[in-house]
Amino acid sequence: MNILELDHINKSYGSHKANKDISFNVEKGAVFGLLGPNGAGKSTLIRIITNIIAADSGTIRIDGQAFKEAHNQIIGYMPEERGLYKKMMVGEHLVYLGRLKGLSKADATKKVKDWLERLQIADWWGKKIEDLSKGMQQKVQFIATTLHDPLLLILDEPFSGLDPVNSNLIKDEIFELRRKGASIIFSTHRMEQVEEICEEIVLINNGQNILQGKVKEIRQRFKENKYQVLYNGTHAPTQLPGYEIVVEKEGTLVLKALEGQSPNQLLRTLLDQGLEIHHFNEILPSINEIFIRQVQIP
Amino acid sequence: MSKIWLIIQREYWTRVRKKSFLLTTLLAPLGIVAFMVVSVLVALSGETERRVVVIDETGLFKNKFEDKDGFYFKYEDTTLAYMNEVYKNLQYDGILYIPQPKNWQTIRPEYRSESQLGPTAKSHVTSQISRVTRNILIEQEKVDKQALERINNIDVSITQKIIGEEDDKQASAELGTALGYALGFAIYIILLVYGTMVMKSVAEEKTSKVVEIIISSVKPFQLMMGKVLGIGLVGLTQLVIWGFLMIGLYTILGLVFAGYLTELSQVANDPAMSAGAPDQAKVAQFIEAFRQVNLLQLFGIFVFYFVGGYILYGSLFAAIGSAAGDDMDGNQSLNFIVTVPIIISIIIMTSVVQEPTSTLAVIASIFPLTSPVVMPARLGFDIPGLWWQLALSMIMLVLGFIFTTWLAGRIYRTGILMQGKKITIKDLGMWLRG
Repeated sequence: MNILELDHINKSYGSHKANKDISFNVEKGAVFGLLGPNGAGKSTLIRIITNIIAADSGTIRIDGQAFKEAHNQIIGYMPEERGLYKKMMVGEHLVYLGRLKGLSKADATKKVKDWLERLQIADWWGKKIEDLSKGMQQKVQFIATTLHDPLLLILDEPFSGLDPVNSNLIKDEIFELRRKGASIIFSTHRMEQVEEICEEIVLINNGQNILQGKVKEIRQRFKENKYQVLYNGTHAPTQLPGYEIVVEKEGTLVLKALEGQSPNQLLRTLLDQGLEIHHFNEILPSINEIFIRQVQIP
Repeated sequence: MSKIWLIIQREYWTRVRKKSFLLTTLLAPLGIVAFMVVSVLVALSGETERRVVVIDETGLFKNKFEDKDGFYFKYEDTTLAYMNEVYKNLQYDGILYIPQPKNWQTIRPEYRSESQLGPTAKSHVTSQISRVTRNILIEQEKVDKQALERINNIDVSITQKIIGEEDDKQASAELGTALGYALGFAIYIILLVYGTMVMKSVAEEKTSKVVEIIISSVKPFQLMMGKVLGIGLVGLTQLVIWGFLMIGLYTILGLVFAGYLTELSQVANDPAMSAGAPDQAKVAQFIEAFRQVNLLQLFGIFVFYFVGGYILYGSLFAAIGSAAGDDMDGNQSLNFIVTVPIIISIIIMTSVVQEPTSTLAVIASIFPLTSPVVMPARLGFDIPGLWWQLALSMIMLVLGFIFTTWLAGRIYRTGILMQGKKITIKDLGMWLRG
């Protein structure tokens, strides 16, 4: 079952094509990464998903249904560029945003109080937004996004401006929301976070969907049969038929297996040459490397 | 709809709760009253006392000057040269020297003192001298003094009455003009002040990126209308408070000056009495005409044009605000698209209060971009056919603001999401189509 289905979405601004024929699905309960370099068309796509702007063509289904007004209440969207009313107090601001999402005043007030307590910032209620640091404001924005218990959470660069401690705090909350059944679309260009958090990704470049799939599968798909060996010994191995030596430095060896070679064979050959192996692993490309490689394809 | 209502509430309360709102609302009328009080005080305290010694070579001015306007006159039979030496010791402030004139058509007196007379004081002395000279001439020429006085005091004051209306309804062109100016300017100021407030607020919401969060919950049009209406309600609140303060002041002044007003209206209705005091009669007529104005009706129409004109221009200002870049200065060139028609309105208005029935007046008070300023400016006059013009103008204004809000909505929804690049009029046109 999919929480979101995009089917052949197109959007142009004048002569500029922001989204070209984009299609993908997001499974219920998934943590889904929407990746792409700056200006790739991510924000436009998210705005189409959240019904802020309309696509020129293509269909969107949310929770199996074509978009309707009520869907706003099951989506929680945290935009990349985000601000708050500086003169308002944290409590009233959050209640206001909750009510705009359709919560009653009493409901919104209760939920805001719960959230502030959970993040151990209950004393912020009467603080003015302008007195908060950027990181503190991020927390308030995160609460605002999740206040109405959305089924689909769309987070655009949620960690920008957060220190590691608060990043972890928010990360834990994201997983907690997912455990409760929310699906999460996570848009970023910080690849290490993608590998850590997302199970599935779609990569957008120049408005087009150029790569899509499970993170593990993609890394497998783009692997180059490289292996890293850490060894003890004075002499480096010389004769390694079927392998190409990529790096050779004191005690470290990076090899690339040619066609038809298995890691077991490599290990055996190395042992036969009298090396004392301390560590042996296959090098899978990081999502970052794949990203750069894919984006640079002309 | 409930979301627009939430936005209206927020826009309204965050402004009304501000100290600056309370201050401007209460201080503006107080400021006007204080200004009037101060100018009266200045006028009253402007008189300095001057003791003046008169050296009169003709011998005809002795004891003829009146001690008034701060001047006290003494007469000495001595020479100017001697008085020049001693006037200070004798506690005089100045010497008025009247030489024997060559002829009685040109009198050339001298006023001598350490400090110059101001223009007002100078005219006081001049008028005294010419009054006395006139009397001297009346004597010399053997003119009948009473006949001359009657001739000099002819009073002409045109009373305008509208044919077909109740006889006692008096029209006052002066009142029409005064009311017209007041109402027209009031709307003009309101449009500019609150319109700019809308524009700034939209631009702020955009540059601070709050808008990105809000529009994930509400439609851009809802946000825009909520803001325009919320700020409009703030203006209306201010207007109502000012209205009450005015009525309060009017009542207090009415009680204080009750006797004076009754006297004035008697003067207005009594030709014999008004003959003696032409200025007073004019004032009385003015006040009488003012009493006949249907204030409630006037206020109702005024509020309609305030609301209609404000929504029309407020939404356009919102559209301009949505095109704002990070630097607010770059926005000026777009700003003028909206302010120019308002300024043109006020220029038309100043001519309309002089000629309230001209073709320009009729067209400008029906055309929705100018009618909010021009139509209220005509309300103080009795104009034949005003009612159908008013009806047409109101309908046009409603259609006008429906159109501008639609137009503004289209620009706004694209504008608020545009970041970075400088926006030109051409871009606005493109957003409109897109």
